[in-house]
Amino acid sequence: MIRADCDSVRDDLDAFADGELRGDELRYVSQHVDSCIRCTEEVEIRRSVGGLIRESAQQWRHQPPAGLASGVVTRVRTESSLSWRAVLNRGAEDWHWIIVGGGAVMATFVSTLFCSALLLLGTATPRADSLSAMVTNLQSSPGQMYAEVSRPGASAQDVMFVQLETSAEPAGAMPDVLAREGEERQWVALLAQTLAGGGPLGQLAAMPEKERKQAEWLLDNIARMRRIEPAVGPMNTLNVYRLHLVTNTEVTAKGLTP
Amino acid sequence: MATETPLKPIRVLAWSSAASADWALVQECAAGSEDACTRLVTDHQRMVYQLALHLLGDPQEALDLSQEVFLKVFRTLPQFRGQSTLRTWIYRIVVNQASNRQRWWRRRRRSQQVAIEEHTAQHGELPDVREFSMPDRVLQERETAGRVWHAMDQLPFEQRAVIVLREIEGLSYEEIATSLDVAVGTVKSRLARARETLRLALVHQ
Repeated sequence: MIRADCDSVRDDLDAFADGELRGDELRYVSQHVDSCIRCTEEVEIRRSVGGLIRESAQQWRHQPPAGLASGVVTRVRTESSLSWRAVLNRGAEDWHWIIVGGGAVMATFVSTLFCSALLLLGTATPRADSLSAMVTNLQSSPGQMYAEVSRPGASAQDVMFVQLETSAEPAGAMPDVLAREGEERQWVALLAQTLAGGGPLGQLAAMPEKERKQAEWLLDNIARMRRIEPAVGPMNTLNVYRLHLVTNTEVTAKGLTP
Repeated sequence: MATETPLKPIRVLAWSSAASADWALVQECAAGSEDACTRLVTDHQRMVYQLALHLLGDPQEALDLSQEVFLKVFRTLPQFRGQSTLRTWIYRIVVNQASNRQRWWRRRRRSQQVAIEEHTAQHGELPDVREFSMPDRVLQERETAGRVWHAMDQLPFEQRAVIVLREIEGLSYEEIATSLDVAVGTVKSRLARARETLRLALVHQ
């Protein structure tokens, strides 16, 4: 029979003493220990140290104090409720600015909705002398005509607002103004004739010299007619700045009520 | 010389039934059942407290640690997957918590340690244990227990944990390895070193 050497089993003596060896390992170490006094003593020493510890442990044995279980469960319950509160607090803190921003947007939306509802559903009392009423009247069907005029030599600040007769022939400053408009209309028609046949894009450089000169002359005249300057009235009595056609006689702007 | 082959205690409860009972208890606790939580603590409090006491050596510290351990158990209960038994899983938590605490405890104790001469100068001579009218056998047992405890207290924490789990708690090498999250070979070597240190310490005392 092959005898195992003490060195080869030394590392397994603790496991042998503790009954942790199995199979071939157990047989191998067991055979050696059975025949080796020194290793048998080593095993006994290990077991006696273990026995001493176990006996001593009896002296240290204390029962856990009563109430440990209830104390632990109470703490678990407390921690669990605190943790929910903490989670809520943390959530509120993390979403603080988002909640504030959302609230502001919502408040704006509600305010806008409220104002819109007021404007749409509310009944507005019409004011006869309001600016909107006057503008509405000016854009309506033909009625009386007014002109902004000043006397020759007077300052541009001294503009007067005068009513013109529209039911009869234009009087006062109107013929000259209307003639000017008619002249411009004729020049535009002439220009259109001159440029006719040149395609959608008329090019002066590509035109015959005679037609080009005529077109240039017409353009100069039209441009001159359209300069913003007060027209000169008949007999140089008035400078006409602007004409107003008032739609009906219900205009109640202050100072204009007939 | 013939030696008796050591007998290993056989577990009466089969693994599958123990595991399923553990698993059911864990599920109930995780669902928030206070009864289940109380049952879990009641079933394991003695084991946890004794192990804490043997690792730390102070009843009040052991009690505090036991509470910490159970709180940790309930906090981390959702992580329990049943890969080990509930008992082994709790052992691991006890050892980890005790390891953290004893580092702090040792530092504190070192800083508060008072020389015996200083103590007797302030408080007088230490009482002689023989002054108490105890039987000699009891006194001798206490004296031996004190020597063993003193020797164990000198061991590094890793070795003390292994020796306590093996000799007092009766765990197998594999269970110790799982509880300490180390290899079985490490358990063997730590156990051998711890026994050798203890033997030398007890012989020379």
